[in-house]
Amino acid sequence: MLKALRLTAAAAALVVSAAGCAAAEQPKMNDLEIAHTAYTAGNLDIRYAHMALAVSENPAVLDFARTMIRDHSAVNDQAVALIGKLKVTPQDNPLSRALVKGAAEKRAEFGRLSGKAFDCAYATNELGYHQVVNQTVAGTFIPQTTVPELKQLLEGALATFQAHEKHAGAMVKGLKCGA
Amino acid sequence: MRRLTRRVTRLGGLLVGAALALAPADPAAETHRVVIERFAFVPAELSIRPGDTVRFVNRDLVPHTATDGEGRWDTGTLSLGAAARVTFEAAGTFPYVCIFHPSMRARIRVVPE
Ligand SMILES: [Cu+2]
Repeated sequence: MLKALRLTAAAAALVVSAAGCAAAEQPKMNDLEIAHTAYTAGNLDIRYAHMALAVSENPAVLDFARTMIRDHSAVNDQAVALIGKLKVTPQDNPLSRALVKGAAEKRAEFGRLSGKAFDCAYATNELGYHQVVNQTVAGTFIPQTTVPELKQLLEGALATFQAHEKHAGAMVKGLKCGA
Repeated sequence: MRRLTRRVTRLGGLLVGAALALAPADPAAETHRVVIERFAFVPAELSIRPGDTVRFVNRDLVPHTATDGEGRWDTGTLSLGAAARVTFEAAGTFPYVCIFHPSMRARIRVVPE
Protein backbone atom coordinates (compact mmCIF):
# COMPACT_ATOMS: atom_id res chain seq x y z
CA MET A 1 0.00 0.00 0.00
CA LEU A 2 2.74 2.44 1.00
CA LYS A 3 4.63 1.56 -2.13
CA ALA A 4 1.52 2.07 -4.24
CA LEU A 5 0.88 5.45 -2.63
CA ARG A 6 4.44 6.49 -3.24
CA LEU A 7 4.10 5.53 -6.91
CA THR A 8 1.00 7.68 -7.30
CA ALA A 9 2.60 10.57 -5.47
CA ALA A 10 5.66 10.30 -7.67
CA ALA A 11 3.58 10.27 -10.83
CA ALA A 12 1.53 13.24 -9.66
CA ALA A 13 4.58 15.19 -8.53
CA LEU A 14 6.27 14.57 -11.86
CA VAL A 15 3.45 15.93 -13.95
CA VAL A 16 2.76 18.82 -11.59
CA SER A 17 6.43 19.83 -11.61
CA ALA A 18 6.58 19.39 -15.37
CA ALA A 19 3.48 21.55 -15.75
CA GLY A 20 4.97 24.12 -13.41
CA CYS A 21 8.18 24.16 -15.38
CA ALA A 22 6.32 24.52 -18.67
CA ALA A 23 4.24 27.30 -17.16
CA ALA A 24 7.34 29.17 -16.07
CA GLU A 25 8.88 29.05 -19.54
CA GLN A 26 5.75 29.72 -21.52
CA PRO A 27 2.72 30.86 -19.52
CA LYS A 28 0.32 29.51 -22.13
CA MET A 29 0.72 26.50 -24.36
CA ASN A 30 -0.49 27.08 -27.89
CA ASP A 31 -3.00 24.82 -29.65
CA LEU A 32 -0.30 22.81 -31.42
CA GLU A 33 1.54 22.11 -28.17
CA ILE A 34 -1.69 21.17 -26.40
CA ALA A 35 -2.55 18.78 -29.26
CA HIS A 36 0.93 17.26 -29.03
CA THR A 37 0.75 16.72 -25.27
CA ALA A 38 -2.79 15.32 -25.32
CA TYR A 39 -1.80 12.88 -28.07
CA THR A 40 1.39 11.93 -26.21
CA ALA A 41 -0.49 11.31 -22.96
CA GLY A 42 -2.82 8.91 -24.80
CA ASN A 43 0.02 7.09 -26.48
CA LEU A 44 1.88 6.64 -23.20
CA ASP A 45 -1.19 5.10 -21.64
CA ILE A 46 -1.43 2.70 -24.59
CA ARG A 47 2.19 1.66 -23.91
CA TYR A 48 1.44 1.04 -20.23
CA ALA A 49 -1.55 -1.05 -21.32
CA HIS A 50 0.55 -3.20 -23.65
CA MET A 51 2.90 -3.86 -20.76
CA ALA A 52 -0.06 -4.89 -18.58
CA LEU A 53 -1.32 -7.26 -21.31
CA ALA A 54 2.10 -8.89 -21.40
CA VAL A 55 2.63 -9.17 -17.65
CA SER A 56 -0.71 -9.36 -15.83
CA GLU A 57 -2.88 -12.43 -15.39
CA ASN A 58 -5.69 -10.65 -13.60
CA PRO A 59 -8.93 -10.50 -15.69
CA ALA A 60 -9.95 -7.07 -14.35
CA VAL A 61 -6.51 -5.63 -15.14
CA LEU A 62 -6.48 -7.22 -18.60
CA ASP A 63 -9.98 -5.89 -19.39
CA PHE A 64 -8.96 -2.43 -18.24
CA ALA A 65 -5.79 -2.51 -20.33
CA ARG A 66 -7.72 -3.58 -23.45
CA THR A 67 -10.16 -0.72 -22.88
CA MET A 68 -7.27 1.75 -22.54
CA ILE A 69 -5.85 0.61 -25.87
CA ARG A 70 -9.26 0.68 -27.60
CA ASP A 71 -10.29 4.09 -26.21
CA HIS A 72 -7.00 5.98 -26.41
CA SER A 73 -6.51 4.67 -29.95
CA ALA A 74 -10.00 5.91 -30.91
CA VAL A 75 -9.38 9.36 -29.41
CA ASN A 76 -5.94 9.64 -31.01
CA ASP A 77 -7.34 8.52 -34.39
CA GLN A 78 -9.76 11.44 -34.17
CA ALA A 79 -6.86 13.74 -33.28
CA VAL A 80 -4.90 12.54 -36.32
CA ALA A 81 -7.97 13.11 -38.52
CA LEU A 82 -8.39 16.65 -37.16
CA ILE A 83 -4.71 17.46 -37.57
CA GLY A 84 -4.92 16.24 -41.18
CA LYS A 85 -8.02 18.32 -41.81
CA LEU A 86 -6.48 21.48 -40.34
CA LYS A 87 -3.17 20.76 -42.13
CA VAL A 88 -1.10 21.51 -39.03
CA THR A 89 1.75 19.76 -37.21
CA PRO A 90 1.58 19.34 -33.42
CA GLN A 91 4.55 20.83 -31.56
CA ASP A 92 6.73 18.97 -29.12
CA ASN A 93 7.13 20.91 -25.87
CA PRO A 94 8.57 20.59 -22.33
CA LEU A 95 5.41 19.03 -20.88
CA SER A 96 5.30 16.33 -23.57
CA ARG A 97 8.98 15.61 -23.00
CA ALA A 98 8.48 15.40 -19.22
CA LEU A 99 5.58 12.98 -19.70
CA VAL A 100 7.65 10.76 -22.01
CA LYS A 101 10.58 10.73 -19.59
CA GLY A 102 8.36 10.05 -16.57
CA ALA A 103 6.60 7.18 -18.33
CA ALA A 104 9.91 5.59 -19.38
CA GLU A 105 11.03 5.62 -15.73
CA LYS A 106 7.71 4.20 -14.64
CA ARG A 107 7.91 1.38 -17.23
CA ALA A 108 11.40 0.55 -15.98
CA GLU A 109 9.98 0.25 -12.46
CA PHE A 110 7.09 -1.92 -13.65
CA GLY A 111 9.54 -4.12 -15.52
CA ARG A 112 10.92 -5.36 -12.22
CA LEU A 113 7.48 -6.40 -10.93
CA SER A 114 5.13 -9.32 -11.51
CA GLY A 115 1.92 -10.80 -10.12
CA LYS A 116 -0.04 -8.74 -7.64
CA ALA A 117 2.79 -6.27 -7.16
CA PHE A 118 2.66 -5.43 -10.86
CA ASP A 119 -1.14 -5.28 -10.93
CA CYS A 120 -1.26 -2.90 -7.98
CA ALA A 121 1.53 -0.70 -9.33
CA TYR A 122 -0.11 -0.53 -12.76
CA ALA A 123 -3.61 0.09 -11.40
CA THR A 124 -2.49 2.74 -8.93
CA ASN A 125 -0.45 4.50 -11.57
CA GLU A 126 -3.42 4.45 -13.97
CA LEU A 127 -5.57 6.11 -11.33
CA GLY A 128 -2.95 8.77 -10.58
CA TYR A 129 -2.10 9.29 -14.24
CA HIS A 130 -5.73 9.84 -15.29
CA GLN A 131 -6.33 12.13 -12.30
CA VAL A 132 -3.41 14.36 -13.25
CA VAL A 133 -4.15 14.28 -16.99
CA ASN A 134 -7.80 15.18 -16.28
CA GLN A 135 -6.82 18.12 -14.07
CA THR A 136 -4.52 19.37 -16.82
CA VAL A 137 -7.02 18.88 -19.66
CA ALA A 138 -9.92 20.44 -17.74
CA GLY A 139 -7.99 23.20 -15.98
CA THR A 140 -5.42 24.20 -18.59
CA PHE A 141 -5.86 22.66 -22.04
CA ILE A 142 -9.57 23.27 -22.65
CA PRO A 143 -9.56 26.88 -21.37
CA GLN A 144 -6.40 27.73 -23.36
CA THR A 145 -7.40 26.10 -26.67
CA THR A 146 -8.51 28.56 -29.35
CA VAL A 147 -9.49 26.30 -32.28
CA PRO A 148 -13.13 25.25 -31.65
CA GLU A 149 -12.71 21.78 -33.20
CA LEU A 150 -9.71 21.03 -31.00
CA LYS A 151 -11.60 22.26 -27.94
CA GLN A 152 -14.49 19.95 -28.86
CA LEU A 153 -12.13 17.01 -29.29
CA LEU A 154 -10.52 17.73 -25.91
CA GLU A 155 -13.95 17.81 -24.29
CA GLY A 156 -14.71 14.38 -25.74
CA ALA A 157 -11.31 13.17 -24.61
CA LEU A 158 -11.92 14.52 -21.11
CA ALA A 159 -15.22 12.62 -20.85
CA THR A 160 -13.30 9.49 -21.86
CA PHE A 161 -10.44 9.99 -19.41
CA GLN A 162 -12.86 10.77 -16.58
CA ALA A 163 -14.59 7.43 -17.22
CA HIS A 164 -11.14 5.80 -17.17
CA GLU A 165 -10.34 7.49 -13.85
CA LYS A 166 -13.51 6.02 -12.32
CA HIS A 167 -12.79 2.63 -13.87
CA ALA A 168 -9.21 2.75 -12.51
CA GLY A 169 -10.53 3.64 -9.05
CA ALA A 170 -12.82 0.58 -9.12
CA MET A 171 -9.92 -1.59 -10.33
CA VAL A 172 -7.62 -0.41 -7.51
CA LYS A 173 -10.36 -1.10 -4.97
CA GLY A 174 -11.06 -4.55 -6.42
CA LEU A 175 -7.39 -5.55 -6.29
CA LYS A 176 -7.27 -4.91 -2.52
CA CYS A 177 -3.69 -3.73 -2.81
CA GLY A 178 -3.47 -2.84 0.88
CA ALA A 179 -4.41 -6.38 1.99
CA MET B 1 -26.92 -33.88 -51.78
CA ARG B 2 -28.81 -34.35 -48.58
CA ARG B 3 -26.35 -32.04 -46.89
CA LEU B 4 -26.93 -29.39 -49.55
CA THR B 5 -30.70 -29.60 -49.10
CA ARG B 6 -30.35 -29.15 -45.38
CA ARG B 7 -28.14 -26.16 -45.91
CA VAL B 8 -30.61 -24.57 -48.29
CA THR B 9 -33.44 -25.18 -45.86
CA ARG B 10 -31.45 -23.54 -43.11
CA LEU B 11 -30.68 -20.61 -45.37
CA GLY B 12 -34.37 -20.34 -46.20
CA GLY B 13 -35.17 -20.18 -42.51
CA LEU B 14 -32.69 -17.36 -42.03
CA LEU B 15 -34.17 -15.41 -44.90
CA VAL B 16 -37.66 -15.76 -43.50
CA GLY B 17 -36.36 -14.54 -40.14
CA ALA B 18 -34.72 -11.53 -41.78
CA ALA B 19 -37.85 -10.68 -43.73
CA LEU B 20 -39.93 -10.81 -40.57
CA ALA B 21 -37.47 -8.56 -38.79
CA LEU B 22 -37.60 -6.05 -41.64
CA ALA B 23 -41.38 -6.00 -41.79
CA PRO B 24 -42.72 -6.35 -38.25
CA ALA B 25 -46.07 -8.08 -38.08
CA ASP B 26 -47.43 -5.39 -35.78
CA PRO B 27 -47.98 -2.15 -37.71
CA ALA B 28 -48.23 -0.27 -34.39
CA ALA B 29 -44.64 -1.24 -33.44
CA GLU B 30 -42.45 1.79 -32.80
CA THR B 31 -38.75 2.50 -33.02
CA HIS B 32 -37.21 4.22 -30.00
CA ARG B 33 -33.80 5.79 -29.73
CA VAL B 34 -31.12 5.41 -27.07
CA VAL B 35 -28.17 7.75 -27.50
CA ILE B 36 -24.80 6.79 -26.04
CA GLU B 37 -23.17 10.03 -25.01
CA ARG B 38 -20.51 11.00 -22.48
CA PHE B 39 -20.32 7.40 -21.27
CA ALA B 40 -24.04 7.10 -20.53
CA PHE B 41 -27.11 5.54 -22.16
CA VAL B 42 -29.76 8.25 -22.62
CA PRO B 43 -32.43 7.63 -21.50
CA ALA B 44 -31.14 5.24 -18.86
CA GLU B 45 -34.67 3.89 -18.32
CA LEU B 46 -36.88 3.24 -21.31
CA SER B 47 -40.36 1.70 -21.42
CA ILE B 48 -41.53 0.17 -24.68
CA ARG B 49 -44.17 -2.27 -25.92
CA PRO B 50 -43.61 -5.84 -27.12
CA GLY B 51 -42.58 -5.77 -30.80
CA ASP B 52 -40.96 -2.34 -30.52
CA THR B 53 -37.42 -1.71 -31.71
CA VAL B 54 -34.69 0.25 -29.97
CA ARG B 55 -32.04 1.94 -32.08
CA PHE B 56 -28.78 2.50 -30.17
CA VAL B 57 -26.59 5.31 -31.53
CA ASN B 58 -23.05 6.00 -30.29
CA ARG B 59 -22.04 9.66 -30.25
CA ASP B 60 -18.86 9.20 -28.18
CA LEU B 61 -15.35 9.20 -29.59
CA VAL B 62 -14.74 5.69 -28.28
CA PRO B 63 -16.45 2.37 -29.04
CA HIS B 64 -19.22 1.15 -26.75
CA THR B 65 -21.68 -1.74 -26.72
CA ALA B 66 -25.20 -2.24 -25.44
CA THR B 67 -25.17 -5.78 -24.09
CA ASP B 68 -27.96 -7.58 -22.27
CA GLY B 69 -27.01 -8.52 -18.70
CA GLU B 70 -28.02 -12.13 -19.37
CA GLY B 71 -26.57 -12.39 -22.87
CA ARG B 72 -29.95 -12.39 -24.65
CA TRP B 73 -28.97 -9.63 -27.09
CA ASP B 74 -25.95 -7.52 -27.95
CA THR B 75 -25.37 -4.65 -30.37
CA GLY B 76 -21.72 -5.61 -30.79
CA THR B 77 -19.10 -2.86 -30.92
CA LEU B 78 -20.48 0.56 -31.90
CA SER B 79 -17.84 3.07 -32.97
CA LEU B 80 -18.42 6.83 -33.20
CA GLY B 81 -21.56 7.42 -35.26
CA ALA B 82 -22.52 3.74 -35.54
CA ALA B 83 -26.00 2.47 -34.72
CA ALA B 84 -27.69 -0.88 -34.14
CA ARG B 85 -31.31 -1.96 -33.78
CA VAL B 86 -32.69 -4.49 -31.34
CA THR B 87 -36.31 -5.68 -31.46
CA PHE B 88 -37.92 -6.76 -28.20
CA GLU B 89 -40.70 -9.31 -28.70
CA ALA B 90 -41.18 -10.56 -25.15
CA ALA B 91 -42.34 -8.55 -22.14
CA GLY B 92 -39.90 -8.19 -19.28
CA THR B 93 -37.12 -6.08 -17.83
CA PHE B 94 -33.81 -6.00 -19.64
CA PRO B 95 -30.88 -4.52 -17.74
CA TYR B 96 -27.91 -3.92 -20.03
CA VAL B 97 -24.33 -2.67 -19.85
CA CYS B 98 -21.43 -1.62 -22.01
CA ILE B 99 -18.99 -4.52 -21.82
CA PHE B 100 -16.04 -2.11 -22.21
CA HIS B 101 -17.09 0.35 -19.50
CA PRO B 102 -18.64 -1.40 -16.50
CA SER B 103 -20.01 1.85 -15.03
CA MET B 104 -22.37 2.22 -18.01
CA ARG B 105 -25.66 0.61 -17.00
CA ALA B 106 -29.24 1.13 -18.15
CA ARG B 107 -32.55 -0.70 -18.47
CA ILE B 108 -35.33 -1.35 -20.95
CA ARG B 109 -38.76 -2.40 -19.76
CA VAL B 110 -40.99 -4.14 -22.24
CA VAL B 111 -44.51 -3.63 -20.93
CA PRO B 112 -47.65 -5.07 -22.59
CA GLU B 113 -50.45 -2.53 -23.04
CU1 LIG C 1 -18.72 1.93 -23.18
